[in-house]
Amino acid sequence: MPYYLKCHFDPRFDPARLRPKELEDGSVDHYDLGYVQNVVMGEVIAELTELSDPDSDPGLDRKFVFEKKVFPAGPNTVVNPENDSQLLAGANGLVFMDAAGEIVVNQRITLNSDVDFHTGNIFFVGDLVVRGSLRSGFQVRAKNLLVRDLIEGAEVQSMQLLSCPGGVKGGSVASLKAGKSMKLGFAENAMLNAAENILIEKNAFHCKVYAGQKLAVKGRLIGGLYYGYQLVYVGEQLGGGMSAATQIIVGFDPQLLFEDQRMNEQLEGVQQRILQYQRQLERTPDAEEDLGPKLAKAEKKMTALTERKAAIWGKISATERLKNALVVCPGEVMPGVEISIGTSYLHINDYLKNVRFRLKDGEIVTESPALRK
Amino acid sequence: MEGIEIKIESNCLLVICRGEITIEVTGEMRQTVEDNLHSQTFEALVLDLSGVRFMDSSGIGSLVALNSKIKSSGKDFYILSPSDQVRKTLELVQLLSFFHIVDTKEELELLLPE
Repeated sequence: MPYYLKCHFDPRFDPARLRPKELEDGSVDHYDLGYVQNVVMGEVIAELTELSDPDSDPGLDRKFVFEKKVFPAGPNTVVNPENDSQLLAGANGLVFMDAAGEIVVNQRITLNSDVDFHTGNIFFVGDLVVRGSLRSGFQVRAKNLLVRDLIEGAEVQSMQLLSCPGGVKGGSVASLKAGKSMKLGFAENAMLNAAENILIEKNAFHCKVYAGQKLAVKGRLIGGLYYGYQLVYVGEQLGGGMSAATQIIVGFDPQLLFEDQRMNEQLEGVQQRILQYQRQLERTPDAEEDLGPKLAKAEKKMTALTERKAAIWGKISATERLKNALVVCPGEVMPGVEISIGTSYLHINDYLKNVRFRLKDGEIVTESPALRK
Repeated sequence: MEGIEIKIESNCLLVICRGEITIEVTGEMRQTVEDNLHSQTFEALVLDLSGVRFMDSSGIGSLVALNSKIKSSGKDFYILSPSDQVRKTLELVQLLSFFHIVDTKEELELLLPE
């Protein structure tokens, strides 16, 4: 009895021949090219069904007709132990049919080009290596992500590790998030957020950084806002004169501060809208029927945001770790740098070298040398 | 699956799923959602999974595909109040953090445009 292989993915999928998806209105989406056919561990990826008469359908692709009930099973696939007519994905990854006709699930993708209009956005449940750059305006999400060249103004998220030896030139729009740690060659004008540690091999300029545990910048850190829960380490130079505002904050949970920052941005938007509705109502009282409900909704949202913000600050205070919070700089510290440890604040007025900052009796003290055995 | 209900609320497409999301129903579920993607104007898609008792790997695969599609089109994708069973399944396949999960409707309202 012959069998027909029904694939629950496109077996003819060729990533080298991607085309933008055409929408119903005739337009095309250049960002959605379907670069990856994701599958999840345990997902049915193919089925074998009995064929009573394979010759009865002349349109049947013989490539998918098998004489025996045996799957062309490749790596990371497994026959369902409860139903031998089904082939399952043995891991999260990308499913495809290789040149030999085997069904394969790859847990890792290596992209030899940039992420750009040739690939579209990439959302992958496995590990992704990009040998090129991530171009501005594109989104990438993967389990672990390695980008060899540059990350531009892209939106990037890894569930675990994010590494980019080529560095980040964010153009003030790049957003990088890592579920665990992040390692970058350098970073400029970008938002970085990692649940654990962030290591920057060279310089960090004008960034907003949230490191859930430690932040280390081996080179210069100039301009921007930098949060580390336990430690901020700067190897060569901290701050860059009075013109580049540089703020370092340690001791509070950066993830909660990130959430607070998000609330602030939303609050600002809602407040502006409330003001706008109120002014419009003053000018045209007849618009009450239209604007009244909008105003009420915006005011309700503002109350909810304010309450949420208060709750976040309750958590921030309850989880502060001030005792061992440190800012360490074996290099130079320039005047103008602002350092906060918890609610204590220090404005650096003098040029300093090889120092560390910690909290003592509620005040930030400066000690030298920076590194101790 | 016992049912799928689709509503437009606060400029978002709210998809309420109930029962089981398994390979038998994922095709229909995706088709229903995709039909609405083209016919409706919205800024975010919210998948309410509070009433889902069970979801298999094919169900998760559908969520991954839907998430990618929505995010690629520049819209937001949220999973609302997943049941403990769904949460455990997502955790088991290490995909809990792949999605933006929102625990309550109140929390969701803060994220959505007015």
